[in-house]
Amino acid sequence: MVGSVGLLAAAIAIGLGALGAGIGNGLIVSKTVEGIARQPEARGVLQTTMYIGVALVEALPIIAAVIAFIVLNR
Amino acid sequence: MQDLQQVYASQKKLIFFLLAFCALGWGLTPFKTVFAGLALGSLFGLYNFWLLVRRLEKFDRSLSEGKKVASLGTGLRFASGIAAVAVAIAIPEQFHLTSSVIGLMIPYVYLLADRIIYHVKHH
Repeated sequence: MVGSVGLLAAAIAIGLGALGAGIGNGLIVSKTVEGIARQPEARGVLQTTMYIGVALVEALPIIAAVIAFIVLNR
Repeated sequence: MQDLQQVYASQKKLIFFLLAFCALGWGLTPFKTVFAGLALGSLFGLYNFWLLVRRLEKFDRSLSEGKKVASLGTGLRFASGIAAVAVAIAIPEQFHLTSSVIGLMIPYVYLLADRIIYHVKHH
């Protein structure tokens, strides 16, 4: 049975995780678009780097969701 | 420059080695639940990464063709991460919870380490 503090903990975990990942993804994509606008011939390399960055940043909300789920089931 | 498919191929190779290691650990050591949890987590982690690679390539293709993009499948990846942990919570006598969470993050840790090694080698 989860108390209200547990619910709060899950909400904070997932909310802050999503916030951080949102800021991170925004920075990655904005810089990539800037780079492509400056050097359109480097599009492929920049896009691959962006995708890898996005994949890394995505680990954060996933782990936040997992932690929230664990907290809710304790 | 490696593309996503190459990263995924090397990722897959690592996970298969890790699964073989987990099978050995599960069979030969008393830490059965820890190795089973690690294998479960890394399988779901690999599935997550496969989904990510597939969706990002689809996204790339539809952008260059000028089509509309539906989604990047973030919800599905969240759900599969939660599914791994749900299995570990439901069957605690078979799967260790912490090790399955660690297993879930192995592809991402590998991706980071791979990038760092690549940059050290090429710059």
